[in-house]
Amino acid sequence: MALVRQEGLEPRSPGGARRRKALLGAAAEHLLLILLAGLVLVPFVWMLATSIKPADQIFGEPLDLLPDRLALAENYGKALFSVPMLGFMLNGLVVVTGILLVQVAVALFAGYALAKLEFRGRGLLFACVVFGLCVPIQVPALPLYLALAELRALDTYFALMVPFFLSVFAIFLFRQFFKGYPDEVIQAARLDGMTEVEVVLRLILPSARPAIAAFAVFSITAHWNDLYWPLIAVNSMERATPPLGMLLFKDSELSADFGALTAGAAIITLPLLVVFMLAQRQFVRGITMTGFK
Amino acid sequence: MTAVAPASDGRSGRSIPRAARRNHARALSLSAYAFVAPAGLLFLALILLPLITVLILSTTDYTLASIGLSFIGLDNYRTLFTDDGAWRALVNTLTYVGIVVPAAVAIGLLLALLVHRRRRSRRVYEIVFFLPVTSTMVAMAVVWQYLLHGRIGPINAVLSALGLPRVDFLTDPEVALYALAAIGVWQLVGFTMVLFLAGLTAIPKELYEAAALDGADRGFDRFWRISWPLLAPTTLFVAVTTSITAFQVFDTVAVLTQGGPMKATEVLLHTIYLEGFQYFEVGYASALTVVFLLFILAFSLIQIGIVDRRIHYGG
Amino acid sequence: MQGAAVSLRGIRKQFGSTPVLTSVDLEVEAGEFLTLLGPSGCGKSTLLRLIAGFEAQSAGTIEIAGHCVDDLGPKDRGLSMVFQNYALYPHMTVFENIAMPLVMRRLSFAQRFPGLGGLCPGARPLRREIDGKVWAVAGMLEIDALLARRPGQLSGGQRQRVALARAIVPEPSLFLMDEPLSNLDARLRLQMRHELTELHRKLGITFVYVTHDQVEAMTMSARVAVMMDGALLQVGTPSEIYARPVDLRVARFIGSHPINVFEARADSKGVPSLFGQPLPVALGSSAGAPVSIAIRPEDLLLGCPQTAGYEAPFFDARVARLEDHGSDLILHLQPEAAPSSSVTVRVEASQRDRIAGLGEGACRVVAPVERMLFFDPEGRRIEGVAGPVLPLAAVGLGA
Repeated sequence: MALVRQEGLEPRSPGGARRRKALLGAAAEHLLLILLAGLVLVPFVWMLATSIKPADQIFGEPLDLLPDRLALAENYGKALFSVPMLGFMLNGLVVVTGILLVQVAVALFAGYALAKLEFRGRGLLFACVVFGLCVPIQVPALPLYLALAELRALDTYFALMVPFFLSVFAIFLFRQFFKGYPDEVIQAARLDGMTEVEVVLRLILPSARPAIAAFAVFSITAHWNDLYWPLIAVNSMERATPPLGMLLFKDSELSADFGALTAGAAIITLPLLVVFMLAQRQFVRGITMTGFK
Repeated sequence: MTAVAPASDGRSGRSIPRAARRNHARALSLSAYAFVAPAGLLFLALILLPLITVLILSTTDYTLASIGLSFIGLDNYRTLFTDDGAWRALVNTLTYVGIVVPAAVAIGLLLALLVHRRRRSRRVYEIVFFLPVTSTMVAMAVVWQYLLHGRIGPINAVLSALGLPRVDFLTDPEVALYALAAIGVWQLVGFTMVLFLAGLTAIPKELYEAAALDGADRGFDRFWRISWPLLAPTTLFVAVTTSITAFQVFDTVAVLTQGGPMKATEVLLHTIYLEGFQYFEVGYASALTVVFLLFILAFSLIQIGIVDRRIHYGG
Repeated sequence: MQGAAVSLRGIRKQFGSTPVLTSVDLEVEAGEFLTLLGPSGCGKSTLLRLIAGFEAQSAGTIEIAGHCVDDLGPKDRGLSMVFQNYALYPHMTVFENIAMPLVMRRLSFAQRFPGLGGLCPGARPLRREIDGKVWAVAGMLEIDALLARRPGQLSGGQRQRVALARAIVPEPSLFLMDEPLSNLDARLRLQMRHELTELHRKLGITFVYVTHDQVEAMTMSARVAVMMDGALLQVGTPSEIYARPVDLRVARFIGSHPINVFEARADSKGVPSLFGQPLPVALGSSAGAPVSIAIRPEDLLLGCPQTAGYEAPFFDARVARLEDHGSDLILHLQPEAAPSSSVTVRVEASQRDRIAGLGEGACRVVAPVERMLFFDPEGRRIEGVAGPVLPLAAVGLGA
């Protein structure tokens, strides 16, 4: 009976048995993936759910996803106005933009010189770049802090940005990328009377857009999310970046108000996540590049 | 004979006087120096000089409160190995790495193997698993604090619903480090998955087809005889890269435990932060920093070795 | 060994909504060397992959040695394959590469389990047997000195032999090859062509060989199956394919110098004309319809019509270009009646002196009608009936 029904339902196709087996395997794999994906998403789901729940429900029924009463305005209001959340975001934007612009400007020319120009000390400089790749920010942090304190420059945007003005990673990346640029085109441009600065700005820069985009993603994510250096360089609310602001918010008198705290977390996380959704390819490429630095 | 003359004529017509050529070369190397000058100066100011300073400070008893400083040789390093706190931090950090790296590598590999075979849904899964990599760890740590909360946390609610005892994930010294490691794994699996996906894409489809003909067509054989050996360089690379990241664990500790309870989650970077920027024991913090750097350099050397070998592989 | 080694019936394949194969029927005789020939993208490789079982056809059935294999995976179809890029396992030695099919087939899952397999009962003698077979095949292909190396350390020709050895060792009844020579340099290719033919003779099993290179197809195989646009156009011996193509596309594809094609029209009696000259042939079915007249460059003759042995059709032309290929000469001509078109004529090198005299000048081209091929507007060949219609004098030779 069952056999007959199966035959009747599915028109007999070549390799049907093989295909059915493969389909079954794929279904099992999907099930496992969906399960794991669900686990990974739990914090995000609870962040959004908790941020719109009233306090008594957060404490009473932590497993309810849907709010009894929408406490959106209340929680997000607290997150936005009990601490200068928008100020944190603005600080983050300023710092991230400033760092990126200087990094790209410095690395563009250095990367071009390393890739395409002959000069004494090139090997040494490249060795420095590779060495720099192995030195994380926490190593020079202490002397930099002392120097900035000496200059009375702590608690400023400059202090937040200056350790990152040099990205050896950007130089390394751009050098690799520019190496592939045809020498003949550069020679021809020189014959046409272009100066080297013009070569960089008019030939190299436009062709480097993919590399710059990938690096930008990497740099923006890294510095938007960084906690260590802002924690050292800044101690006032006025200059706090989003992660530092979040930490201050968490240690404020609202430290047990998870509705407000998750609302704050959502506000800080969301901009980057939205950009990530829009430019997923570049994001994955940009961040995985750290693996190859 | 006659054909030679015009040719040499043409060349001399195009040739540039030697002096001009030398000027041109000098101009090129001048602009080269101008181009690398900012990077070079920043390297000196932001990396090399601070690094030397750290090395020097690590042999002094300098604190921010002291007026002068005196050299005390390797005393700071000696303290480091006898000081319970620093030793504890190092052990904790290595334990954390020892948990996070194998777990993130294994789960990332599993995810990559599963996601690689999806066609239409591949992008969706990539986005989902990569989400924790891009999100702000400090903010997500706050969410984790709620999820793992001993009294009101949803995870404990699930445990009691299942009839299991509650766990004080972040306040029980026996558990706290493992809870942080779990969060670390959660954040890193997307990263390792993407690296493994790149490795899998590099394996030619024909090899799997040849293997299917030879009889290694699914499951264990296919994995053990084709995917795993061909991914070996990738795996090593992912493990080292993840180790470097995991060794720098700081955000979750700073937000969730501040090294507690009872120093159960005290990790190297957090100790450096406390000694250097809270207690201003600059000399001692410098010595810790040097130890930290040595570990990172060791990992990096292995990593550079792998990258070189991988280029050699192929063929 | 009798009957069909492979039989394909009504095979169709589409990727998404793009059809790649449109109804292919083909019988491959047991023990024969059959080549699938066609330009790139014609679906020949897809067809091979369907036979191997890497993909499932959208419709139709595949039988190998008389059994339907649609429900069998690649390893159960009793065939081997040599891939275009050889697909050697880069992490295994040459020995392990060749042993792989035997290890997977002869040893049980427990016996080949990493590490512990050697302890299983019966594993050792089987291993020893496999070793013997690998050495034997390696000896036959003269690669026994390379067994300890890895594929990355081998030259292209050596990799090719390893791939062959790996395919031979499980003693398949069917051997599939996907452009196996395309990655070799010209000299090695010539040598391997010879060796593959020898190998086929020695093994006596069925070879299905895919290539886009007509010289390979014509020189190596007993039968050639010409594919184009996802369809099988003609299956036949190399000489049939060359001399009696059933389709204009086959006629145009085969031949190292492209065949000459003239567009013409048959009159109400079915008699076509070449440059206004009625031909001594009747195409009954095409009365009043357009026809394409095709003739190979070596079948056109230079000189007076009587060279053909009878008073054959002819036309006058100017020599536009002369290419000396050493063994023969290629003339590109412009017919006086249609100066914008081009006609190619191939002549033996022995006639070089005679041709040299032509210079830029005019010549008379004789087109023997029995060498002509006629095709209808769909490109199918039509047989002409040599007409009694033709009182030869009526053609009006000379002026």
